[in-house]
Amino acid sequence: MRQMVNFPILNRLDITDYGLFPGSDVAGTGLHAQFNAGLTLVIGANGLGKSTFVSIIYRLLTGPFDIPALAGQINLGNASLDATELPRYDRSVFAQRVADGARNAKARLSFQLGSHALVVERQLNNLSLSAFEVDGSTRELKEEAFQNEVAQLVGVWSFGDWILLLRHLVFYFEDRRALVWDASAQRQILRFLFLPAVTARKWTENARTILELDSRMRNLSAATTREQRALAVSEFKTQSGQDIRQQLSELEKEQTADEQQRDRLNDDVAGLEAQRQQARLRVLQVEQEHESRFREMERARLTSISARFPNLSETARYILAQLFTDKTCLVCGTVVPAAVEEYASRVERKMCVVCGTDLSGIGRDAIPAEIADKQIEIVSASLKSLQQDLDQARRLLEEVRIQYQSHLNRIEQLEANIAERSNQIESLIKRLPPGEMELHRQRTELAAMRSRVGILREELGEMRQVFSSFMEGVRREMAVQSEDVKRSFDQYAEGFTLELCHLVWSSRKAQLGQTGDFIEFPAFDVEMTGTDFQTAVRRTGPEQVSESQREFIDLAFRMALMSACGSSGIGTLVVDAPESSLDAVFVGRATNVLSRFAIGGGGNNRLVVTSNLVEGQLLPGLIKSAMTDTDKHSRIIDLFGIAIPTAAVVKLREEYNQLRVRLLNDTGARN
Amino acid sequence: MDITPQVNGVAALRRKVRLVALIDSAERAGLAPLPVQRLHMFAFLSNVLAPVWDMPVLDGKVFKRRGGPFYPVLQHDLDTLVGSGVAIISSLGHVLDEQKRWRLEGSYHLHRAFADRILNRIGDFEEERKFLGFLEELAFALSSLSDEDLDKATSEDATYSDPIVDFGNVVDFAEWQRKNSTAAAAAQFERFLPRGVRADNSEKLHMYLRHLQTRIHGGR
Repeated sequence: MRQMVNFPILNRLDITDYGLFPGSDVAGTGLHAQFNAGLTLVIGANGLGKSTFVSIIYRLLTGPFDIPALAGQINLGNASLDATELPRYDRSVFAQRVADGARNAKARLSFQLGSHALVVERQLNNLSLSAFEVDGSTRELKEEAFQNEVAQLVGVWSFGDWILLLRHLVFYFEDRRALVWDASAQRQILRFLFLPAVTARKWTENARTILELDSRMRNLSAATTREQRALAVSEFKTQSGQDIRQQLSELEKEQTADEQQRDRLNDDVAGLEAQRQQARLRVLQVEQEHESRFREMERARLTSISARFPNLSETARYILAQLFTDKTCLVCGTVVPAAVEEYASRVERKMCVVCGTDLSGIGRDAIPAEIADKQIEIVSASLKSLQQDLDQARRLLEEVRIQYQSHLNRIEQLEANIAERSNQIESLIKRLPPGEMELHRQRTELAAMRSRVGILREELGEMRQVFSSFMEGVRREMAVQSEDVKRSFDQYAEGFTLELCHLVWSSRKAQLGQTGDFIEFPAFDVEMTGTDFQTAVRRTGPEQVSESQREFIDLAFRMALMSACGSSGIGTLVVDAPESSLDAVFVGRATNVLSRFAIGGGGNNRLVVTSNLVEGQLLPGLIKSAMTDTDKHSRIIDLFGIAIPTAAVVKLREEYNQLRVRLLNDTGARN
Repeated sequence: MDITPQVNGVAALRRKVRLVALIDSAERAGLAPLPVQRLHMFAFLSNVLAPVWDMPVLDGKVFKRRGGPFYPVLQHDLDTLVGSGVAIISSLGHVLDEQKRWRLEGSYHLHRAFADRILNRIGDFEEERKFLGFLEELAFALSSLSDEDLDKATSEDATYSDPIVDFGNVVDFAEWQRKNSTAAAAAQFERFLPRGVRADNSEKLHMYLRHLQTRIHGGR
């Protein structure tokens, strides 16, 4: 059954007794924000608390918990995604910003999860719960109760997933991950958005079991290696069997070097495999495009010829068109540019291509021929360029293929060397004199450890196979839902980029743990045309698009996920300072995309945008497209009147006022 | 480094021989003249079903297009077959496909005077004779489908229609991966026969094509 997640719909925020937001005589004390359906704009200047405003909402929803791995940009594939209590320092982050330590400060948020109305209130000095209500009924003031109930109402199996949802979909922080480009984060988001909670849980728990076992196996393996070295040293120290020990020592050294090289090559293979897949895809894409252009050219040639060449059989016309298109005679396979030139000149002079009869005076319809001639000029250039693309793509594929194969061959050779040397080592150890009790004990222990590593490795292999099959089933199940996301993405992306840009349901290979075979995980990839590419090209990393495109492709992706996977397609998006990564030309388009989200979700979406007072079209554009003259004031949270002013604001108040009035009032908002 | 698919080498010759055999089988089964798209569909099925007949797969991957399989390199081989007089194209035209890309429209049949010489020689070699037998059986199995069903065949094929591979990606069933759901499905039909009854290779092909037909008409 299709999974639907209840995204939070923000309704109201009240912050009281917090020194950063004292309020004003006009606005009243504290900060009070009503989030109506559509856009809410939070304006301010540096230091007025825009990011604090967003952080307070975030912390009201997470409490004093977070996922430590989300703080950096590390690969989430092997990271723990459990919600973990924040250290004391981080819990007092709001207290540190004010002189009174936020002793009496509270924040209260009303929001919806599906059809349920929730209220959460927290002390801002330590994030502790001071109120929690669901549908008007008071709940126990314990984080565990809050977490369980929220996760259940959202439709995810763990509070960790709720945090992932907030961080990657609802809140667009400055230090965000670009979800569309980050396969490891994406797979976790798709897991709980696309799958029923019970399957999402099974995925997480099975992956965790494998990761734990992988870690245990590696630790034991490292301990075994240490033990083996210790044994070698002990044996070396004894007097007898000196020559054997010498051999052992050399073999051990070689073994370590080979093992290290094998591990390095294995790491490289992962990257090469991705490159190889990419290169093959590119060749096949360009082949298709080339074929299409080739036929377009052929068609134009045919039109051109048929207008001047009566009663020519279809096969003959076809052969001539091909001759004109790739200069190769289809009859004998010879490349004949001179003949092509001669025939082309006859076509040019309106003569029969084969016998040279002058056809200019016999009333042929010249229009299609002329149009086709023009078409030939246009297509011929792009065909030439595509041929270069194709050669380049094939060359790259061949290079990567050779490199990949050479890595595999080398690994295979190393594995064989390691196995053979391992036998030699074993047999040398057996030939050592029995020696003292200690040596005997060490040998027995080492044998036991080796056997345990072998068992663990086997166990892991089996578990990975089961997980891989589970993942294949999951990918198939998810593929059905991917269509809605792609459709929705097309709508959002269309408004932003001038290039053709769409999502492709794909898969990424990754290791679970640090050993074992690669497993295919689900992912969306972005394909986009560009100035350098005739066809849409897979963009596998943010560096392959411009900065403006990067941000908004990711934003469009989040919006698409929310509208395709949220109950009734509704969601909230909190965007902190979108202007920072946009060039002036793209602002208009970005405004358009944001506004479309604001009025989307059947008119129930919430879009909260924070922004400095910046010149340009962002603020006027947003106000114009998502506010009316009548509701404008209720939709703007003006931190100039609410927050404690910074020194710059005090000193430059008049200038800020003028700019604010100009930007907010000269917008021609909808009536 | 030579990176262009061979036009005249052994690989190209193998592809061309297969094309001649393919069109010949289609003619024998009453499917000719063979329209371009259908010919590529036939080529795809001959690849994906080859293991059922214990035959090697000629091309173990295909680019997944909404309009069905299409092999540009194979199309180029067809062009040269037309040029050398072995194949004849009729109803020639060019159309825009669903992706607004131009493609060739036309139907192929063999020029017997040239093609029979090739086919007779192919028949002299055991392996090739076996391959001809496979193509013929596949063509007969396909001929039980209506024109409309033939055009939808790959949209229900277990490998090509697998939602796990999106359009615009590579369907890899025998190049770098060994995951041929079509051949696996064809092999599975034996399970539904009475105990002790074994299906031979041609029965497996026919059962798979009947299964495709059922799926095209909404059955499972």
